[in-house]
Amino acid sequence: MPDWKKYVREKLPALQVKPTREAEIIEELANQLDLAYREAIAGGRSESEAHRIAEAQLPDWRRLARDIEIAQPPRHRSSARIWQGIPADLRHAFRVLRKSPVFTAVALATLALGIGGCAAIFSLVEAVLLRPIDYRDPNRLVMVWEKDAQNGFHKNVVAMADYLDWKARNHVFADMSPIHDRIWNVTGQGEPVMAEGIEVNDRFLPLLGTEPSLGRAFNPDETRAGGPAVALLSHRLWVNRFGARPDAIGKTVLLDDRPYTIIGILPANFPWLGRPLDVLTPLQLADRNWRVEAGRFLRVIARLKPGVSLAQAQNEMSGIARQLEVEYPDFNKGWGVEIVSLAEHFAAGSATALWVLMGAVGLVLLIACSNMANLMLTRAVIREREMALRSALGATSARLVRLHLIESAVLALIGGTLGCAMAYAAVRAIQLYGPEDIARLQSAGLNLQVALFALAVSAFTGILFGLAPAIAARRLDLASALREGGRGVGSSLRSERLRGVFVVAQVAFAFMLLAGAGLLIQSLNRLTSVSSGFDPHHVLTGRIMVSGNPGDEQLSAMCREMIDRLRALPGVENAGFITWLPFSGPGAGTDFAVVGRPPYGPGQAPETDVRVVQPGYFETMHIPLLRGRFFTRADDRPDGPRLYVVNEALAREMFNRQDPLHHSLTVEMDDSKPGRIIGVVGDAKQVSLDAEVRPMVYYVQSQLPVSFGTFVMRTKGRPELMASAMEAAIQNVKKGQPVSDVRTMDDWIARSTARMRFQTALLAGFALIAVVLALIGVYGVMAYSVAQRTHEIGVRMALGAGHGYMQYWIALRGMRLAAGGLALGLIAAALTTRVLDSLLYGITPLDPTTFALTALLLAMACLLASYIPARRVTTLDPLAALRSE
Amino acid sequence: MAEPYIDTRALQKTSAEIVVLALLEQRSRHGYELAKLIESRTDGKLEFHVASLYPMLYRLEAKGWVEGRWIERAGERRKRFYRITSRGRKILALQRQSWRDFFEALDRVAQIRPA
Repeated sequence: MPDWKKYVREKLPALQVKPTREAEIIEELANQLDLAYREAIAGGRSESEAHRIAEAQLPDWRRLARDIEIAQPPRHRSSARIWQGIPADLRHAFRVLRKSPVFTAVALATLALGIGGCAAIFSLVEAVLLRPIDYRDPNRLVMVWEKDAQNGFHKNVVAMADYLDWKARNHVFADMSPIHDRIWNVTGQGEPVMAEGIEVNDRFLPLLGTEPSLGRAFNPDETRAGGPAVALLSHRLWVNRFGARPDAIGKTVLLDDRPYTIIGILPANFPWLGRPLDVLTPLQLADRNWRVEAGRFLRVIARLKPGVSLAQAQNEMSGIARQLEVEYPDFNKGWGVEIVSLAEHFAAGSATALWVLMGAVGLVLLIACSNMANLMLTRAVIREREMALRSALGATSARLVRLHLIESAVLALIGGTLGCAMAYAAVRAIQLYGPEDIARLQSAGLNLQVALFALAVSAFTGILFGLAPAIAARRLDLASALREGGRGVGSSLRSERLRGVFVVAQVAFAFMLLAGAGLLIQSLNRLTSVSSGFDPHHVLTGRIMVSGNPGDEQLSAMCREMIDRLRALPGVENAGFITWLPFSGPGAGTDFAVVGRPPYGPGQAPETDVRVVQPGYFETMHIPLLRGRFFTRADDRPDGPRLYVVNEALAREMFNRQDPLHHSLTVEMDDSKPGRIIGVVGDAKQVSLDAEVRPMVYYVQSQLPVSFGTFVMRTKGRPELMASAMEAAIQNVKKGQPVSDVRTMDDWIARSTARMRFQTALLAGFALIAVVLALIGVYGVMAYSVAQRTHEIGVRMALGAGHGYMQYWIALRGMRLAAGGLALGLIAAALTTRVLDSLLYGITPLDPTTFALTALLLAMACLLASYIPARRVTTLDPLAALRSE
Repeated sequence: MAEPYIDTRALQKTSAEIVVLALLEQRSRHGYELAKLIESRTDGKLEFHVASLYPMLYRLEAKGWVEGRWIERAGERRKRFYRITSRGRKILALQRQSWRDFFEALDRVAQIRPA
């Protein structure tokens, strides 16, 4: 009995259908032959006759295979045809790339820069802007601020009284919690340290949707006045101080020398606005007349009720604020409410810069792509003969396109992998050396999303730069390509035009980046040359927080003694003390009035910043005295006459041409006791270099005791070398006193410009890469063009053109492309630099000097890039050039 | 006078599907059986080559008019039986009607009556 299955398998050409389907078809056809054979045998035919009869059933196997294939529904068709030969193409791609190492190296470097830059910046954008916050249903969480638009206070801290009224009257929030920032001296077990903490109510953790990983959250009893002293510790503090022992629950920890019972531990990854948080304590509310006794000092977080939009909440809260303005005009006149989503709060300040950087790397990537396209196109022309040969041997144009795309894809993937490695290094570097105040920056990394993004970018680049030569390959005119012996003039002219377009685009993109970087660099220069109003060099600072609220006199005496010890250190010129050191964060401010002038209406009083200093502060910081005198030690008495030193801005605003020294002020701090102005000092910047200096009233320490502040110390040598001496001197006076933020004043100012330096450095880096890539592009095209036109150059020279003329002729072609790019870039930059507006300082987005300089710089670079290939002409022998074919 | 000549190949091609559907209307059958039935019932006039039967079955299956299924009987090799689907029945009814209309029209004009 013949094996009909085997027979069919041998006869039937391979079907382009899935293997299981093919097996079924073979079996069915074999059945047909088998039955025919059996019938013939049963009819008395011989075996060989029967075999012939069966065979005659299916005479034309090729046609049968074709008919069967056509009849198959798509789900049975195999994709084999598309994939067939891919391994061979891959091997070929690798071989080709290995054979031209210079091309491969340039291509991979270009790609790694483009893809790596993109992946690095995207990982930052993903971590800081895109990743949802780790709270339950984070889109419903908002920060609620007060605002006094008239006086320019936005996102202002909130008064306790207002918070309590909001909480009682609103219908839009499911939960609200006040947040009061605290800095604690953590003592007792282990090293004394300063720890960041917040005081909140019992709804705080449920509101975020978080629970302690150990122990429990606060209960309502613990947030009442006189409630028990309890605390939740961060996972980090628990590990460091209690060795992560579960029995830490129920133990006590000394916070500012007062014992607190530990009732819970926060989860290890507890996210608090991206910053470290070590201690959570209940905000215990006494029944006080808050509007009289306290100012605005809280932050407020809230969760919107389901179905309530941010706009609805804003609407209702504004209504409540208007009620309060009517009910309490003295305190609330002019104050409204400003609600900001938590996501926006997180991203505040960094969003614009990051999107700008993302746009910048996008441009770098496009330049990298067009450079790659140029490289591939040049190679495609060189390999035109190879392609023509393949075509002649039966390769379809789809096959040739695929060959090009596979080569590009291999390059893009290797380049993408290199780029990912580069991105990893870049992100680590940015986390180590970048600004510290960008929330969630530290959580950036090469996660799945970033990897997918890099993969997508690689694929995109691969297709983009593979497409140009692939399309060129489709247009291949077989006969002429073969006939022209590899020079392929027809298509090379076409691809030369395409390459010209790419170069114009590259120069235009580079112009945009260079102009943007130029604007940022000039802004940074202007900002850092702004005077702070004091001399920050050679000043060391160290912050303390005095535990246990010593009496006013005692606190001031202690600070004086510490200052004396600091002054006694060898190499120290002077020392002083101030609450709220400039550039170290927000400070205090309040209403004030000049004694003897008519009273202000509700909400009309002028505002001033307030700082408390020890005598010696101004001298140490080199803040100039303009009138009167500085504080002396004799002034530092709580029972003495109230004395104020004011800054120039206050003197100018309130007294114009009058002498401020003859006047007294009432300042609404702890009391409104009138005090005499004894001196006017120069304006000193407080928040940042670009902020306007506001009026300032300085108190002497014992007249407004605050239990924390920063020592400043002017040294002869390098201040950072005195850090441990400073700590020792302070701890000599009070044993175990933690000193934190020991750093130079220069460092504080540098921190305030860190973001700007960061974004400037990155954009400048991208601009540099862009220019280098664009120049490679210009150079490549010109060099190739010279090589292609050797014959033409020979003819021109034979007809009398000198070397100089030929150089000019070639460089002119390069410059024509560059000029096109510059013109296009100028227009594009003029249209786009306005996105930088909020990042600039003291310069407009259309600054003519920057644009002119950018154009000049880029033009010169392009000239150089096209002159180098042009110089090759001088080494050209006209006869040899004529012979070149 | 030359013998009247009718080119039946075009007719065969369009009628092949209706024949297969009609044969499957009564009960499900396998490919060999179908080939035999067509040959015997049309006296070989509808010369229906096996080579075109199977592609046609696959085409009808792809269209969802018939459904093939492997059935194993004791002591026999398994065979692929085809049965008509409800969609196939509707198509068959429609085709029958249009053939009828066609022949009636033909009859009115040229007195050709289907047997």
